[in-house]
Order: sequence, then C-alpha cells, then structure tokens
Amino acid sequence: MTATAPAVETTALTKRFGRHRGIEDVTLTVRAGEVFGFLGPNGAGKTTMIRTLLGLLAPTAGRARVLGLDPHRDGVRVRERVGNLPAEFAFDDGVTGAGLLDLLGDLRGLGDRTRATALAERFDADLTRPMGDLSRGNRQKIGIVQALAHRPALVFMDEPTAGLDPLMQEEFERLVGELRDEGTTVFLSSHNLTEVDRLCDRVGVIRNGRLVAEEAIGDLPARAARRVVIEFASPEGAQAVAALPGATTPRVDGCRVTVTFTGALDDLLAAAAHHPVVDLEVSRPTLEETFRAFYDDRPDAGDG
Amino acid sequence: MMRDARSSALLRPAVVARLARHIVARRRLAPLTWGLPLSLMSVFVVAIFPSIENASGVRELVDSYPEALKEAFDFSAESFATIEGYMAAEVFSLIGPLVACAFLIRAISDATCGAQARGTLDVLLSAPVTRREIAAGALLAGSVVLLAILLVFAVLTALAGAIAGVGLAVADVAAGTAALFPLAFFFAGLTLALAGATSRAGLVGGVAAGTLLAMYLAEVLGSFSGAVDVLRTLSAFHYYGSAIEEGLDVAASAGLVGAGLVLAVAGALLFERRDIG
Repeated sequence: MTATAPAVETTALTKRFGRHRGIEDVTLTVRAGEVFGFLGPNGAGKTTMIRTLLGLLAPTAGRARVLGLDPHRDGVRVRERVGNLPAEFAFDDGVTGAGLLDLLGDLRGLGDRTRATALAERFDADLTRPMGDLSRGNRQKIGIVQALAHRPALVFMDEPTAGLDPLMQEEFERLVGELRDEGTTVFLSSHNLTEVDRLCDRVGVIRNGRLVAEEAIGDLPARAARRVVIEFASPEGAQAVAALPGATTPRVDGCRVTVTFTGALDDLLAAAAHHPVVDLEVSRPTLEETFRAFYDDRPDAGDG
Repeated sequence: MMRDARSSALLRPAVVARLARHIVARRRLAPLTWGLPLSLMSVFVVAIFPSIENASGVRELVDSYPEALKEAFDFSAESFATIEGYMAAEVFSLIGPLVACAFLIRAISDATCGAQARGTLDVLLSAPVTRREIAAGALLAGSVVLLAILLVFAVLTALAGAIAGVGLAVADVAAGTAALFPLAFFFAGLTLALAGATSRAGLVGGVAAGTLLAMYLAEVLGSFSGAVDVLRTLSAFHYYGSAIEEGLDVAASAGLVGAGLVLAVAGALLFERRDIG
C-alpha cells in the first residue's frame, strides 16, 4: 500500500443474510490518516459494514480492500495492522482487563506493552477486576485500550463512547485528535450526530443498508435540519411558516406549527416576523428527522 | 481462494498454545466440578464391592435377568465376582463415558459458539489469528482439561481400591480411564464439526448430545437384535470396549481419535467459512 492509498475502499460491497438486508452496493473510500464518521440509525448496517471489512462476514457481492488487502482472504495480515473496538465490547466474564491485554499482546507478538499501560492509566481503566464485574463504561475503557495498544494504522470503532461518562468522552475526543495527528486512520461508527460532527473529517451516512451520502463534515451543518416549533397569536402565521420552502414534515395545530427546517434560519424568522409570535423553540432534530430532511429527495441513490 | 502465508500456514503452535492456555484457565475448576463427582461415584462403587462380592443373592438376581439384557449392558453374574467386572458395569459402561463426552461437548461448544455469543470471538478475531487456530486451541484446551479430570478420577479410584483392599490393579484403572479419552475425543470432533456449521450453541450441544445418546442406544440395541446390528458399527461406543477388563484396544482407540480428528478438521474448515455475525 502506498502512502496515498485509501485505508478502506469498497466497491458495490453487499452483504445479505438470506432474505434480510445487511449492506447493499456500498462504494466508499476512507483516506489514509482521516477520521471518518460512519453515521446511521440503529440497524442501518453500520456494524455489518465493519464486520465485513474485518473479514468476520463474507461479502455476498462486491469488493473490499483494507490497507490494500482483501480482509477475507488476507485476514491475518490485515488484522496485524488494524485495531477494532466492537459494539458493546465484552469478553469472557472471568478474565481481568490485564489478562485480556496480556492475551492480545501475546497473540499480536507485542513485546512492548507500554502503550497499553499508558492508555489504561489515561482512561483510568480498572485492569484488576474480572470483565463480568465491570460496568459497561469500564468495559468500554478496556475496549479502547485493546484496540489501540499495538499502534494500528487503522482502527475501527463501533459506538466508542457508549457507556462512557462525560469526562471520559472528552478524553476520548482528545485521543482521537492525537490519532489524527499521528496519521492513524479512524473509522468511527456512530448514531450520535453530535459526536461525529465534533470528531470527524468526513462522514458517510448509511440508511437501510445503502450509503446515501459521503461528504466532508464541513458540508454537514449547512445541510443540517432543525426542528422548529412556533406558536403564533393567530393561525395565519403557522400556515405561512408551514408553506415556506425548506420546511419539511410541517404539522399545523391551530396557532402552533412544527416543522423540520433545512433552509436558512433568516428566511424562517423573516417570514415569522410578519405575525405576532407567542413562543419559539429551535432544536436539532433527531437523527431520523435529519435523515428525512436531507435524503428524502434522493432515496437510496447516494454515492453508494 | 488464495491466502497470505500466515493465513495459509496450517497452524502456528505458539498461537494455538496461547489460545488453549486462555481456555484452560477458564476451565480451571473442571477437574473438581466434573472430576470429583465422577470420582466420588467410583469410590463409592469400590467401597461397596466387598459387600456385593460375596452376596449370593445378588448373583442369583443377576442370573435371573434375561440373557439379552445382560448382553446388552455387558454384564453377568461374573461381573459381580471381580472388581474389574463390577467397575465396568457400574462406572465404565455408561456414567464414565457420558461424563467424559458431555464435558468435551460442552467445552468445545462453549469455546466456539459460546465465545461468539459472549463477544469473545469478536475480540480474538480482531487479533491476527485464524479461525482454525481458535478451533485447534479449543480442541487442545478441552483435551488437556479432560485429561486432568480423568487423572483426578483415576488417582482417586486407584486409591480407593488400595484402601478398600479389593485387588483393583492400577494398570486396569489406567486402561479403563485411558479408553474414555478417545471416545470423548470423537465427540469433541463431532461438536467442532457442528460448531463449524452453525453458531447456535444450543443446537450444537443438543445435536452432539443426541448423537451421543443415539450411538449408545445403537450399540445397546444392536446387541439385542441383528436387524440393527449394522448400526453398531456406526456407533463410537462399538469401538470403546471394556478396557478395565480386557486392556486398552489401541487400534480401536486410535480409530476413534482419528475419526474425531477428521471431524475436527472438517469443523475448522467450515468455521473458517461461516459468518461470525
């Protein structure tokens, strides 16, 4: 693999489970050294994508390259240079964190365990208690340590901050920044839009198994929808806002209107200002609402 | 399918040994939890033998049993005349094989399908190891722990024989115990073959245990009726014999181990190809 070769490259990658959908026709490129967010609601196919890229699932069709290698055929060589934090990280209940790191260190032929020790101290990971006695968050800390202990060139992280307290989430964000600086490629799967927004250089959005967008994170806020609720003194104001271009899924209830708004907020406020406003609430919509607002105009016809 | 050199290397002994060490540690109490109950039963059988040995009522009772029944379960009045015969009838014909086989069925199923359900396989397969190495590690670890269980069983049985003064030869106990291993190993291979085909631990354990029961019944019923005699030759129990009385049948034992290995290899190949979902 050359320095400029993609860390991950898939072409029409498809994985089906009998009649059930996994991922469909996913064509995606993750550049070496970038933090790539893989965004989608639960069940969209994020985990299936990662498991296929790790060689745990055999693709039904299409092609995948991880660090220039076929993950299914060259699994050992791929996994020598890749780290993985699976979703809901768990291991045998009776094994301590230290035991797990020893096992993985031995399997990886790691002589130097200082990186693991440093990461464990940084995340205040309890390596002395059996995994079965640890909370989800404490197990997750050990998951982060094991994924990075061997200084991988590429690390897959599936919902990495699940269960972490806010302080550890901040520490994790700092760590991802350092990984970016070191040139490590991070493939971060999440359904948390805010987290992806803060951490990632580019994002891919998957919905119903299909990649519906692949773009720079900087382009996302411009397209980000907001959920707006305005209560007017009269119904005319509500109807005027509901009719605005950019207002999707409008719901008018007398003097009150609820919309998902993807246009410039200035336009909305200008329209609203023509009518007496009693109350105004603007919030980020749920991920599902964002998806509907962003992608209803091009269903399943994204870059994939 | 082309694979890289490390993937295509048959097995890396150091990797297999390290994986096996991990599984053995997980099963470290098995010599007590599995070996001790079996041993206690064996000690009990040895302890009551002196009161059975000279009880004419028992012999008359056994003599009155139908010949077919006695043949099926491989005992006769003479079985109660010697400690080896008595041990064969009471411990080595059914309970011993069932415990040894059940342990390996459970151990192999747990190290493959169970590990997948617990998330352990995801973590192990994030490291540069092959699935065939995980399968081999499971087989090696299960075998090592079974040997420890059988060692506890053999030592306590031989000790009980010496203390009770029933003339139980250590060599006979060793032969009888040693014969349990090839039989259990066959079912370990069968379990691995099933685990290679499906990730459902319950299904794997159930089919393996069902096959164990079916093979036992085939051997028993085959001795009753010539109609199902052919089934006996397909049963692993047909090659198990009665080593405590007749000595270890090395050829039959090697055959069972060989069949187990063939099934294990098939299982490892299937395991490499199936999805770890």
